[in-house]
Order: sequence, then structure tokens, then C-alpha cells
Amino acid sequence: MKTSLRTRLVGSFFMVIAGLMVISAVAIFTIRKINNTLEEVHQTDFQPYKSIASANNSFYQWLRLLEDFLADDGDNLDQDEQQLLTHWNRILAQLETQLEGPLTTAGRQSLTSAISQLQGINITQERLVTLVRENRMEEAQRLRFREIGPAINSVEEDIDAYLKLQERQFEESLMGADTIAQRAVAQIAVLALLVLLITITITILVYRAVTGALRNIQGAAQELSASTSEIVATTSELTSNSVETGTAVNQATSTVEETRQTARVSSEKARSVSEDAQRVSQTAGKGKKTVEETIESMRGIQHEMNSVAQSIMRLSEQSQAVGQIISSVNDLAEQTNILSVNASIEAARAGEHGKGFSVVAQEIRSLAERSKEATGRVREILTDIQKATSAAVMTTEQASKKVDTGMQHSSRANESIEVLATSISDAARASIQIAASNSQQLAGMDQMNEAMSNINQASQQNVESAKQLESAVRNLDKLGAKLKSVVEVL
Amino acid sequence: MSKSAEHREQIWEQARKTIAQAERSLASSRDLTPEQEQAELRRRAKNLARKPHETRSGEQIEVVTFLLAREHYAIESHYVREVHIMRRFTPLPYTPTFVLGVTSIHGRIVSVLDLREFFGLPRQGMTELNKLLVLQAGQMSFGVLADDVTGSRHPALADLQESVHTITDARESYVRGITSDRLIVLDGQRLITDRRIVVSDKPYSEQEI
Repeated sequence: MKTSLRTRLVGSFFMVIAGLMVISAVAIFTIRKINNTLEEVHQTDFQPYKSIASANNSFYQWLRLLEDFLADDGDNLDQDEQQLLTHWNRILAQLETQLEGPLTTAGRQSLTSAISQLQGINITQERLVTLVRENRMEEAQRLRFREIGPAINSVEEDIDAYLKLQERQFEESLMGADTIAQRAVAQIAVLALLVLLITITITILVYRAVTGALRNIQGAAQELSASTSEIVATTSELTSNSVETGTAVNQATSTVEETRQTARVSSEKARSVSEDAQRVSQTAGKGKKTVEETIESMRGIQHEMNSVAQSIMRLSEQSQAVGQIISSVNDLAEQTNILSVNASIEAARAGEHGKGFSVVAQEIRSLAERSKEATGRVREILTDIQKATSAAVMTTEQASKKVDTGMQHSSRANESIEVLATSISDAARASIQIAASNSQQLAGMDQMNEAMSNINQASQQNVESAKQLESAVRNLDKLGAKLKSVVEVL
Repeated sequence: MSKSAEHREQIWEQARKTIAQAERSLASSRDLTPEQEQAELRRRAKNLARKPHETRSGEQIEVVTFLLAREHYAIESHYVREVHIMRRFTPLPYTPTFVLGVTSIHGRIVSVLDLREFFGLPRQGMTELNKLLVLQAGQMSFGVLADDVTGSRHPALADLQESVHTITDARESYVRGITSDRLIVLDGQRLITDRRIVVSDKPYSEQEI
């Protein structure tokens, strides 16, 4: 159930009150009922009983009057007689009125019997009165004992019986009232017990709710305590931060001042840069011209290199031709050699005659040998020449390539110089813009300075506020502690 | 920069000088001076006027010397009919490995033998092997290849060492002797008349050696 504690408390309170009210209503109702019953008893039973009792009383008074009358010396006879009659009539009247009320048969029987007896007594009484008047006292006495006495006794008995009846009835009525009262008491007791049970249940429920709430409050108080300590720490940090901000702002102010100076300096520099840039631009033009000339001369070198390469090629071809000539000379020498050997063989065959021929053959052989050696040397030299030629070809080729690269580099340098020149003019323009923006910056710096002092003030105020906040949080902390202790007591 | 330019200039100067010198020497070599020509002719005449070989003590033989597999060999001149430069030859199938083929010399067919194969020498190094010595003894005639024919000599028979310890391979039976300067003199008669040289129509392996 999501009802609040207050609603629950009020609800239970009202429930208990409603219970009590129910008990009170039941009690009031019962008391009224008992009262009515008693009234009824009083009306129906007690009044007749009272009147019969007074009738009885009157009877005994009549009896004493009768005795007095009998003992009377005769003075006041009329008065006594009058009294006697009055009493008797009263008794009769009282008894007769009894008959008018609600009666049991037995009661009615006794009552009627008593009335009839009384009426009988009346006749005897008149005789007695006459006897007394005549002063025949003895006869009167006799009459009294003989006739009136038993009548009186039976009347007494009847009245007694009636009285007893009435008494019993009255008691019964009372008993009825009593049972009603007892029942009411039982009802009230049951109700009270019920209310008590409800009250106990509600109390337990409320107790539980309250203890839960208290526990929650306790937790909350602890949390509050923790939070407040955190807040305290944060506040102190805030304070120190504010102080730091103040110093930082001071530093920033000085930095702004420095920046202002720097801006002034840079403005001057920008102006001088623009002048320099113009000079550099002129230099770049000159450089470009030089590079173009360089490219032109490189082209010349390339041309000459080509003719050098052609010359070398021719040289190489010619040395090849020389090589061919040499190999044919070599061949000739070899053949000459063979020829000389054959000549010597032939000389040997000729025996002694061939001896001189043998010498010639030997000489031819040595000549061939020497020309072979010479061709060998020429071949070696030729090999060297070939090597040198190929080296020269290679060198020329490399040089040509290098010239090519040089030309490429030069044209690239030309491009670079152009780019440089445009960049420099851009830089000159930019430096003019920089000078302009620098003056704007100076104005901005002034504004910044002002803003800085504002910030400084604000940060000082911040420090104050932070201190106040800190004290407030400390109070809150105390409050939390108090709350905690209160809840712990509960 | 000027220094390197100077250096370059020097190099060019030197090159010019060298070329001029070469030109001069070329011009001079083309036509000998009369004095030089005379001197040369005199030298040759002197050489020709020299006496023939002094006959030393003992019997001499005339041999033709040749180079084969970096060794000097010699064979008696009267076994050599002629020497030739062999340009080409025709290989012959179904012949022993030492028979390279046949070639034509003055219109005659001559079989060509490789003595290295015949002697069972190991093949090592590059050799020219384009000289042909045509050997002849009686009816038998064939050519053997040599790297070079170096000429003729007249060693004394007494100089020849017949018992050769250094040659123990297949050559042994064909060697007549060896001179003090390691000239191996072959026995021409034995070589030419060797039965292995005669090519039969039987397979080589079935031949009697």
C-alpha cells in the first residue's frame, strides 16, 4: 500500500475512535433498554405492590382503629366510626384499583377473595357498630373474635398470598432486567475485546511503519551526514579553486600585458617583413634568369656529349678493325712457323745438303715467332684501348644522364623559384594583413584586460560566497548529526 | 673552384701532349729511316751467316718438338712427313675415342688421333689443339694433334734418360727417353706401328691389344 504514514496513523486513530464509539452506542442503547425495562417493572409490578402494601398498611390501621373503637369509652364514637369507615373504604378502593391492573389468575383469585372477605367484614362491622352504639360491649367483643377475627385472618392470608405473588413477579421482572443487563455487559465486553484486538493490531502495524520510517530517516540522516562532509570538502576545494582562479587571473592579466607588447613588436616586424619580401621577390627574378641560362648551357653540354659519344664509337670501331688486322697477321705468322718446321723436316730429309736450308728455316721460324710476340703485345694494347673506350663510353653516358638530371633539377629549381616568388608576395600581403590584425588585437587586448579585472572581482565574490556556503554546510552537518542522534534515541 | 679548374686544365694539357706524341711516333714508324733499315738488314745477314749447329760429342738425333697438354714432346724428324694447321676434320663413328676423325691434306685422307686420349692423360685446361703432325713410317701414315709445334732440336742420345720414373702411365711404353729439360722424346717406330692404331671393323673392346 502506497499510503503515507500520516494517512495510516490518522486512519488507525479514526478506526480506534470508531470502535470506541460503537461500544459507547451499544452501551447507551443497552442502558436505555435497561432503564425502560426498570420503568416498566416499576409501572407494572412495583406500583401495584406499593399500593397493596399501603392497602395492607391501611388494613392494619383499620384493625387498630377497630380495636380502639372496641375499647372506646364512647366518647368520640361518631368520629371513630367515621374513621373506621373511611379506612375500610380506602382499603376496598385500593384493592379494587388493584384489580384494574394486569394480574395473574392466582393474584386475581386472591384479590377477589380478599375483596369478598372485606365486603363480608363490612356487614359484620355495621353490626358491631350498632352493638357498640347500644353499648353492648360484650356482644361486640364476641362478634369481634368470633366473626371478624377469622375474616381478618383470611383477608390477611389472601393479601399475603397476593403480596407474595406480586413480589415474585417483581423479582422475575427484575431478573429479566438483570439478564438484559448481563447480556449487554457481555456484548460490551466482546466489543471491547474486539476493539482492543483491532487497537493492538493497528498499534503493531503503526509501530512497524513508524520503525521502518525511522530506520529510513536514520539512513537518510547518515547519508545526509556523509553528503554534507563531501559538500564541505567540495566547498573547501571551491574556495581554494576560487583563490587559484584569482591568482590565475592576475597572471593572465600580466600575460595579456605581455601579449600586448608582443603584438606591438610583431606589428613592426610584419612591416619589415613586407619590405624584405619585396627585395626577395626581386632576387627571385634574378635567380630565375640565372637558372634559365644554366638550362641553356646544359643543353649545349648535352649536344657536345653526344658528339663525344659518336667519336668514341668511331674509335671503338677502328680499334676493332685493327684487331682483325692483327689476327690475320698472327695467322700469317703461325703459318710461316709451320712452314719453317716443314722446311726443317724437308732439310733433314735432304741430309747433309739440307743443312744450310735448315738454318734458313730456323731463321724464318724465329721471325715468325717475333712477329707473333709483337702481335701479342699489340693485342694487349688493343685490349687496353678497348677497355678505356668502353670506360669512356660509360662515363660519357653517365655524364649525359647527369646532365639530364641537372637539367631536370634546374627546371625544378626554376619552378621552385617561381613558387617561392609567389609565396613571398603572398607572405608580403599576409604580413600587411598581420599588421592590420595586430592593431585590432591591441584593441582586443585592452578589452581583455578589463574583462580580466571583472573576472577577478567575480572570483573574489566567489571566495566570499564559498565561505558562506561552507559555514552553511557546516550547520547542515551539525543538523544532520542532531537528527541522527534523535533518530537513534527513537 | 679555381683550383679544380686549374687541375682540369692540366689534365687536358697532358692529354693533348700525349696525342701529339702518339701522332709523331706513328708517322715515324711508317717509314724507317735509311740508317735503321740498314741496321736491321745487317742484323739479319749476321744471323744467316751463323754457323750451323755445333756437333757435339756422341750421336745426335733430329727431332720435331711440340706442345701437348702443357708438356713438351718430341719425335724424330724422319717419322714426321709434314706439319699442318688443321682447320676442320670429319668425325668418324664407331672408332676408339682417341680417333677424332679424318681430314684432308693435299687431297689425301689422313686419320686424326688425339694423343692425350691415346695416352690416357687427364683433360685439363684449355688447349688450342689445331696443329697436325703427319707421321709416316713405311705404308702407315696418320696425323696426331698438338697444341703447338715449337720447332726442331738436336738432342744427343746420351742425354736421354731411358729409365723414366716420373712417367708411369700408359705413355711409358711409347717413351724413348727424357732430356734434362723435361722434353719427352717419343719412340716414333713403336707409336706408328702400334696395333691399337690400326682400326679394324671389330668393336674396339674385342680387339687384341
